[in-house]
Amino acid sequence: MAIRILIADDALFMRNMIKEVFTSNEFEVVGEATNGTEAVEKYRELTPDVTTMDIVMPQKSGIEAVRDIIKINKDARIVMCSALGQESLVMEAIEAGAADFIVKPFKPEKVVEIVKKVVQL
Amino acid sequence: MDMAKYKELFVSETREHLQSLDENLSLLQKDSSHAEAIAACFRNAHSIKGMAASMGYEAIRNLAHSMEDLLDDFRQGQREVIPEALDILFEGLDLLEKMVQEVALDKTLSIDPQPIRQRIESFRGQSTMDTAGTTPAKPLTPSQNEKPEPGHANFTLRMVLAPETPAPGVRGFLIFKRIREMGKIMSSRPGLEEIKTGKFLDDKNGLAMEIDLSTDAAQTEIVNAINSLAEVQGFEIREYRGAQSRPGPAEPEIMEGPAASVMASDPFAASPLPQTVRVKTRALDSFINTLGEMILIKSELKETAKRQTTPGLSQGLDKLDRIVKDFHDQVMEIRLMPLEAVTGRLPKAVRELIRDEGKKAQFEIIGKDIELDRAILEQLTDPLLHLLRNSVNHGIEPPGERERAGKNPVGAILLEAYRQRDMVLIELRDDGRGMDPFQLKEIALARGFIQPEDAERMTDEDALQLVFLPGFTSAQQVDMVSGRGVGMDAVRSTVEGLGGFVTLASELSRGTTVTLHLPRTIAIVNVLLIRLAKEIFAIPINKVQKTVEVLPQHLRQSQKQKYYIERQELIPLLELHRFLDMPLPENKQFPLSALLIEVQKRKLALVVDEFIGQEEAFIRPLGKPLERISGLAGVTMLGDGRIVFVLDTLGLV
Repeated sequence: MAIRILIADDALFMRNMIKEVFTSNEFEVVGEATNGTEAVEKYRELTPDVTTMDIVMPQKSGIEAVRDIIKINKDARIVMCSALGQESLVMEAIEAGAADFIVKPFKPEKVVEIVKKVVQL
Repeated sequence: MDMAKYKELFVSETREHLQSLDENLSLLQKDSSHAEAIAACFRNAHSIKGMAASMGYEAIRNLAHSMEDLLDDFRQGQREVIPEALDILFEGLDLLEKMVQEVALDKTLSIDPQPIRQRIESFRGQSTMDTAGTTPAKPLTPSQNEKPEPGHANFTLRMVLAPETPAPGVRGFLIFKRIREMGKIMSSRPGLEEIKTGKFLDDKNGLAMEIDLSTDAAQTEIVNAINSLAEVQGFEIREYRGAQSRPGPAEPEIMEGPAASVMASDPFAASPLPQTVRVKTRALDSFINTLGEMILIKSELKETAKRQTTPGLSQGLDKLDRIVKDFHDQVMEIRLMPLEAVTGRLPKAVRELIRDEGKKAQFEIIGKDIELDRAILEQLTDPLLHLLRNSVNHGIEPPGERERAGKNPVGAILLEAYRQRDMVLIELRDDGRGMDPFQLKEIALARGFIQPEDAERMTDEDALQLVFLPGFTSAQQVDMVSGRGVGMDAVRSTVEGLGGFVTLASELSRGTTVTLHLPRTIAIVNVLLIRLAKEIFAIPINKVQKTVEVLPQHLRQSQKQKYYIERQELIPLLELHRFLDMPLPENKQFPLSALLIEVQKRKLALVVDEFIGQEEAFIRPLGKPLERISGLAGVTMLGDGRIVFVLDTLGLV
């Protein structure tokens, strides 16, 4: 059963990069969101196994989106994507319920490792 | 492709090492003191580790690394080669073979070496403690702050992260949080606050943290839980020994408890460094410049790489490409500032304008938190002020007039900013009298900008665009707020110089909306390089629909206009030279090189002398006074250092 992934990031470039990581058939990218609000909507609609969430996004921040998604499903698995220097925001997201995080520039193997581990939680 | 060739090489060489490992481990089974066999095993594991690391096979690298460590212990005489150790190594060997097989078959690497690595580490940890006369591995400086729960088992967990783990503070925090879910944390080394700042215990393998946990979970459950943590390279679990006072390097380890307040009030307790720094804005500008150069050089290298087949070169360049793009993202993030930096002083200026004009209006700003690159923000003040002045002067009617028209005597002016993908849109909207296409045409006629025939044919929409003509607004109009003569053409050229564009919408007596479409960051853009006479110009690729080679059979002529035929569509064909006042080439030979572009819903074919190529470029704004020239979107530097102008097709035609 492929792991179903929702990618939330406002930059097309980043979404494409992350999608590239999940090209094997262990994964299926089931949707993309370009802002926090869309992320929550798509989560509700698609109920992915894992959501990758950019921290800084327009309309609703990644952290708020995490809170909203956890309200929908307390076992939702969310992996935050951040750039270096956003450590305290990542920790805030983790407190809000994010399960793990990846830091740009990320190594594809690392992303895969983290996503697989998060799914097994 | 190169990647595949390397993979084959990796597989065959690694298999040789695995074979050698097998043979030498078997030798050791028979004779555990065989020094040469130990040395050979160590070398094998070391080589496998290195090769796996360069290919990016982390799992293989990590397992080989753990085995190498154990073999090193043997080699240094720190550990006896006992059957139990060899068993673990054989298992590791087995696993390595399976992993290499996965690589060979191009399967996704699914084998997880963590469990066996754990066992190797545990084995190494235990043995060290059991061996008499050797110094204990790490000094435990516990200070008991939380008592263990009665009836619970208590463990000391030691996690080691690789030294290059990204954001180790956050990783440590996450680990801490997960472990806390399993029971009660009695103490930790370092303390949580220190871990969050990225401070760890030193360990020859990386960054270490220890947590004393009181839990009713079974040991296997705990081990499973730690296994589920990402990025934990090494892990050790021991029975909790309870409080032992040891002299030694004081490591803060407070969790909760009465002792905490004592430590906290220690004036010499180290406080973490601040999380933010101040940076000179000049540094930010030099980041961007250096980044631009990096991109050029990288493009150059890629071109060179195409012509040669140095092994590993194109792989390396692909990685470089990604890294440069990521770096670009990061630098862009740093350069972002909220719109508020510019809009902060607007309300006051607008209030004064309104008062001076004897009007009544409310001014609201939405979206002041939207972030843009600082270089773009810097240029926005003048245009925004001008647009606001227009609204107040020409847009909003005097209160009496508004009332007579059935409107609220207090007008509304709204500045709204929002993001649309990679652009930021800033809308300036008022509910005033709107722009009258008829009046605009009259003014344009009177000033000689258009001929009567043009005015006849012009749609209302096109009439609105007349305001952008240079000099359309009266030359005497001086901006009272900024003290300079400005006009809508200045607004447009500024915005276009930043890589954006302006749109207008208006309805008589309902109001006017001017929208600035701005790029959020100074983008790296793909440009097409073309030659006109002796000059080279660049055009952003996204503005070019396609490039064509025009042959005589593609041409039609009608009166004075030449057309290019494509799929039965007549597209006006013009020489780009005309728009730039450049001399037309003599003796035009077929095929002609032309670009197909679309400007305001009309297609055009522009003839150039030659297509030179494509490049990724970093477009910089022109700045004054060049930015006033319509048709120039900015400037960029070629790989060889030449500066070329970037054309703006909208402004040109």
